[in-house]
Amino acid sequence: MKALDVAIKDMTQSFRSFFAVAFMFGIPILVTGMFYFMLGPGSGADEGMKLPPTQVQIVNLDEGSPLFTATMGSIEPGSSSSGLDFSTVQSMGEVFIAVLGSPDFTEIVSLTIAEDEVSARAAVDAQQAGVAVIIPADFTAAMMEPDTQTSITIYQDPTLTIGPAIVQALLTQMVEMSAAAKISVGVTLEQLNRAGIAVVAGKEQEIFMQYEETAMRRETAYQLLEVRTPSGEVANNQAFNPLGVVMGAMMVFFGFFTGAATAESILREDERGTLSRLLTTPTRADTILTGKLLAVAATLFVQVTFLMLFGWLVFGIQWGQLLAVMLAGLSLVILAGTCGVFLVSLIKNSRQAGLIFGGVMTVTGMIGVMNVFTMNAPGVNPAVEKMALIVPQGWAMRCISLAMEGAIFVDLLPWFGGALLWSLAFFVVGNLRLKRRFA
Amino acid sequence: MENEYAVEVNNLHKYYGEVKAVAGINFTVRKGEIFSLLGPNGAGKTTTISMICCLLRPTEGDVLVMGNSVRKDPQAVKACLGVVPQEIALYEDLSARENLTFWGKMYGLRGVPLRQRVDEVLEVIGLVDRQKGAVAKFSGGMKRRLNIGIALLHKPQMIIMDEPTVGIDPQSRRSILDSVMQLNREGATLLYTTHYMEEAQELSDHIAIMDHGKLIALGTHAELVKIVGEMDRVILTTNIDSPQVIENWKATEGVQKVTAEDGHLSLLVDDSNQVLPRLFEAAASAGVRIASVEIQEPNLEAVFLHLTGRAMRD
Repeated sequence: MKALDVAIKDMTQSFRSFFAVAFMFGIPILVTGMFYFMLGPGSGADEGMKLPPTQVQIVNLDEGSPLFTATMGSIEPGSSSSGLDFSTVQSMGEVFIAVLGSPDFTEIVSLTIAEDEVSARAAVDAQQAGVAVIIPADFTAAMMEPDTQTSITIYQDPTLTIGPAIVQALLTQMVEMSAAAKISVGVTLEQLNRAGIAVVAGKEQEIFMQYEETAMRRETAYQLLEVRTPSGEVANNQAFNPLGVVMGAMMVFFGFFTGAATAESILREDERGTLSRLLTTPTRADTILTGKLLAVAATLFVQVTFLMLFGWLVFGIQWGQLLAVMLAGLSLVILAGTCGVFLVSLIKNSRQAGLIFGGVMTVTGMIGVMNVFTMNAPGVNPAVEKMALIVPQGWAMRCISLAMEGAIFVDLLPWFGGALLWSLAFFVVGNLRLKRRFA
Repeated sequence: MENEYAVEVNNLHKYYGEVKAVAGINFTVRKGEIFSLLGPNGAGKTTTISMICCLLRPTEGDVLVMGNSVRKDPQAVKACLGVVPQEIALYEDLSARENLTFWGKMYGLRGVPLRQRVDEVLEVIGLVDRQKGAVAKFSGGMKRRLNIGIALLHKPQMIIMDEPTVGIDPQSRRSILDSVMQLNREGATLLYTTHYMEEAQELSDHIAIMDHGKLIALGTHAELVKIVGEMDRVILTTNIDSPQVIENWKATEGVQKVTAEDGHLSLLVDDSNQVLPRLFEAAASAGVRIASVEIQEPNLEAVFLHLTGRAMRD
């Protein structure tokens, strides 16, 4: 009971301190709020980070071929499972334009048909378009005839990266599908010839187009892939959540400061004589220390819970599944609390505490929440992720990140176990040193 | 038969390496009395008090508080004690009432009895009107009163005050001394440490004088004064304090002891009324000019000077 009294007293003091409250709640919310306004509302929800559609100028110089026209004419209108009407198209170039301009890609590509190659390039030069796509005159012929080669030209704004890369990826996929169709039909006809089976003239083009059209069904391709988590559950691949990463990082960074600053009350009480006075009352030193530890844990619990609820309600941050989030929050509470106790046990007085917290906590905090700087961008050196784990903040951040990425309770257990080991080491050493000193 | 002593200090030692902070002291404090530990800074008073309060473990010896050993049952000892530390030990960001409530809980009080006792103590220390104000905004005197009030919460049998009047204005000091005497009249036993001999003289039933970790004298004020006899102390300020002059005055009839300190000469004399004219005579014949004269009747300062050869303030 007395331990609880000490804890409540410590918490009352903490929450009455303007600086403590600013560090616990004000700064994390302020920083996240800045990102919220920079990235725009909704960036914390599961809609993910939205890129503006890339402006594409496309020039279709493709002259088609009579065989292609005849083949496409045999397709009944509306029979395409992709929803596109290919019955009237005259060339492969028109097929590409129809696909790129389909509703599936309106959020990432804004397509404009240019009159000629010069005007398309000029639009890119004037930065009115990010990419110009020039489909050559012999494109259909090259796709339909064996031993014919040609290439689509992509002309891009050199200052852009992501938009042109997306357009290039889409075109590559379509070209590869056509090439695969061409190879497949060629191999099939050769096998039929060897078997002495005659193919009706023009039938091969029909087979080619049927193959192409089937391959374009996105759902067919996706059915070949199923992504699962280590526990065997189907992964809930939520979109990248930049606000969540920022607020999670702020929570970890300042949570460790809260843990240390609350634990520092032991030093402050020692310096102000209230600890000695407490020891003249019929209250055991163990009870006083227990109360102090309770205060650290409870203060952190309040901070983490409040920030998570605030982030969810105000910024729309999706922290993940409830149990996983609770485990991630718990990992932060125990890591920050015990780390604070450990650090305080090494410090002689509150003047030293300022230096230690300012230096050690800032550096380790920055290392631990490094992913806020990389924003989970692809191509980041994997060593960065591993380096974060050399500090306790990195483990807390990893638990929170995994929860945000859709990991379930079981997925988090190994990481929580790691956090628990850190905490145990901190607690044993810190508690032992503090008892030796004050009890 | 009930023990007549509130505190029994037996052969108490405290060493810090080679340094003997307290070197084998013995004394007893009777129930219902005010007992003062007097001595200069660094004499070992606070170390002794800390061992009685169970803040420090004795290197050797033991202390019994209300019959409980500080070595064997420190929790029982602490339950009997109300301690007023030398420095103000309060939570400045809490109010006076919150401070009293918290400390009351630490002394084991709860619920209605705690609230009633907090109200009573607020009344006693005169902070009823300011009970909700943050202690940080209190004056030094108000903090001192609250500092004392905390020690009274659980109606302790024994109150220990460690130099409670250090660094405060005369008005607050007077108020504290009055409250100490009031507590004693209400039946509390008080152990009081100070380096102000006037306080010890005014308050105490018994006085122990400490120096360099040892008890050098113990008794009532009257008993201690008898150590230096009925001699007066004459303090002279002169323009010359050469050894020759000092020797001349030592030879003067009625002068028992002469010591030079801080530009003054301190003389222990049998009767100042008779000796003073002779001193002026001797000064005139030696060409010494006396700038000022102060006469002190026998007091604890004289006792300390007599026993140690130096003034308390040294």
